[in-house]
Amino acid sequence: MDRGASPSHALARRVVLLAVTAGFLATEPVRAYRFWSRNQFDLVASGAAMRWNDDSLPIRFRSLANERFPDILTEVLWLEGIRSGFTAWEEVPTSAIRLRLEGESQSADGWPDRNGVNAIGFAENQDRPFTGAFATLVIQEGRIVECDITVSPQSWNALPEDIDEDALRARVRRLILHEVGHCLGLGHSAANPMWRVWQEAPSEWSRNGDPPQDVRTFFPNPKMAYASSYGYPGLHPDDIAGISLLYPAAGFLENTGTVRGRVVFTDGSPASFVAVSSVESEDAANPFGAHTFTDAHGQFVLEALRPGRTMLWIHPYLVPAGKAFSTADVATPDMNHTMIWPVVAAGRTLDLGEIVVIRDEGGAP
Amino acid sequence: MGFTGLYFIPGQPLVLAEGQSVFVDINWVGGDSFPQDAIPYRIVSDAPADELSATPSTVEVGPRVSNAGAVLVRAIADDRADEAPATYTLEVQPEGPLAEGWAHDLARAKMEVTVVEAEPTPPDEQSQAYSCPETRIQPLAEGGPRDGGDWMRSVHGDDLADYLTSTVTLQTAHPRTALSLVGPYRRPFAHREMEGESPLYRPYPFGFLFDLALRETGGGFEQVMTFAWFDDVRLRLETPGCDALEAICEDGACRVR
Repeated sequence: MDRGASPSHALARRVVLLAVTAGFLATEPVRAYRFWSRNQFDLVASGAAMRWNDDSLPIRFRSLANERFPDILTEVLWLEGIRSGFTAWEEVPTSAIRLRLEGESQSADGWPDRNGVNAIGFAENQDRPFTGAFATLVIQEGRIVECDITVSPQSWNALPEDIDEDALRARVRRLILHEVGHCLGLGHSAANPMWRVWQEAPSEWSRNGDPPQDVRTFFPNPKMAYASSYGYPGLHPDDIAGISLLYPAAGFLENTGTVRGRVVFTDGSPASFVAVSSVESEDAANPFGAHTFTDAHGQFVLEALRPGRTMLWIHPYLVPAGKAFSTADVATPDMNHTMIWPVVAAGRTLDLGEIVVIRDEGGAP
Repeated sequence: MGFTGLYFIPGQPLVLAEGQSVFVDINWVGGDSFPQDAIPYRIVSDAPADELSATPSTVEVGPRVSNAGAVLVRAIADDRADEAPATYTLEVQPEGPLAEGWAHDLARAKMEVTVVEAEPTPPDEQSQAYSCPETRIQPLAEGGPRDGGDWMRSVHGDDLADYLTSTVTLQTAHPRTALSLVGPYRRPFAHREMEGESPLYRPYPFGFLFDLALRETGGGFEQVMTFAWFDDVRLRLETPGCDALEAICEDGACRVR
């Protein structure tokens, strides 16, 4: 519904979405799950997700030049990090997404605008203070037409002066991977229902301490999850599934399957906003595949699954708390983890009907 | 204003097999400003009542309301054997007046639903074709305590300095078998509480899995996983038509009951 016969009519058709980094969205996770929709309160399957038109590819970005640029960064490092993040998305073999960083920088204050240029830059705003970074999307007629990535210089200016170039470049890359994912149409996804346990993890992880003895499995989180595996260099299968659903390469949709169902408690009430994660054991080092969430009715549609038997791990939604993964009271019901093993068929949708889970009566500690 | 949510894809009919049902949302789309609290909308359909239903027939929709206008769309089970799929239309029609200066934009007011024949139940889901003893769960405790690592100690203190492991093997031929982790799986953030931090966050899990291995076994499958645990762990295996099995590990040993 739009306001008719009003000068604001055209503007009302433009919806601006803000996609922020983890710190801002701990209390209202129903916004921005998995894909963007015209209404941020809704979960949608990929067919109704907002994306760029195919004729918009490659999506072109410009770097902003202004006085907010952190002293610790050089322009060369900044641009290398951006290009590295772009390359990671472009190298997904099952996706047709293409990105370009134009050589020309643009002088601007960095605060998101609607000027038809996709920009990446640093900004501060005393009226709207923020930390981290966020992506601002402009939507017209259900399609993404512009995206600006705005980065606070605050944490960059607090970095030690002796930080090495590789670490800085990797830091830019991580930021770009996540925020560009938002620009392409990906909301936040689920974290794995596990501790981040590993032995082969990148060295950067070691700052958090040694892993449990004899644990050989590395469970990275998706780049688009609230609880990102910051030190993990690659995209997670869930990120790959998401971008491939939005911009599929030839054959991708035909060669993957979909499972849908409704998660309920034993009393029939819906298990709303819980995570449904696929586990594909063929890759023992990284078994988690695509994730999704249930909607307010407990319904879910999990797409981009590899054909064959798959474990679905249904679990409370996770948000980061300090150094651990935790559940937030506002985000997800108290429920016990449940696993089921459906058989996925390529190019088809399997309806699992109702899946009954057990409410956790343990209460808060 | 119109259909939204998981099961609405503009321009693409929702396919329901007879007997299937889904919730479809009807909602305000885009923008925050709105001149009034809620407006009633009627859901009308050209489908015969014995083919497709949408309930309730009237919903109220307003701004900033999540899933306010959900309707349950159900394909009636009437044995469509050999009948061609039939496509029907659901339409949202406003019943109430809008504030002056506003107009309905019902760009998503129509939704198509195609009703198809239900697929036959696979033989192994039929109770008469399934033998309950074919479902087994075997937890086997392994070795002694292992070092939980620096990271775990930094989060949980000395309580979780060591952990135990069990290899859990699940075998079943029933596709609807479900395994739940029951019992406590959370540990308090003792140091957070002492520091007076917000109780909003509950740490979990208290245990974790690794070395997952899934394989087909000819008509069924076998899932093997190594479960790391601290005080105890209880897993509940449920298969339709069969008694539930519980795998319990405590005091360094595991059992099934």
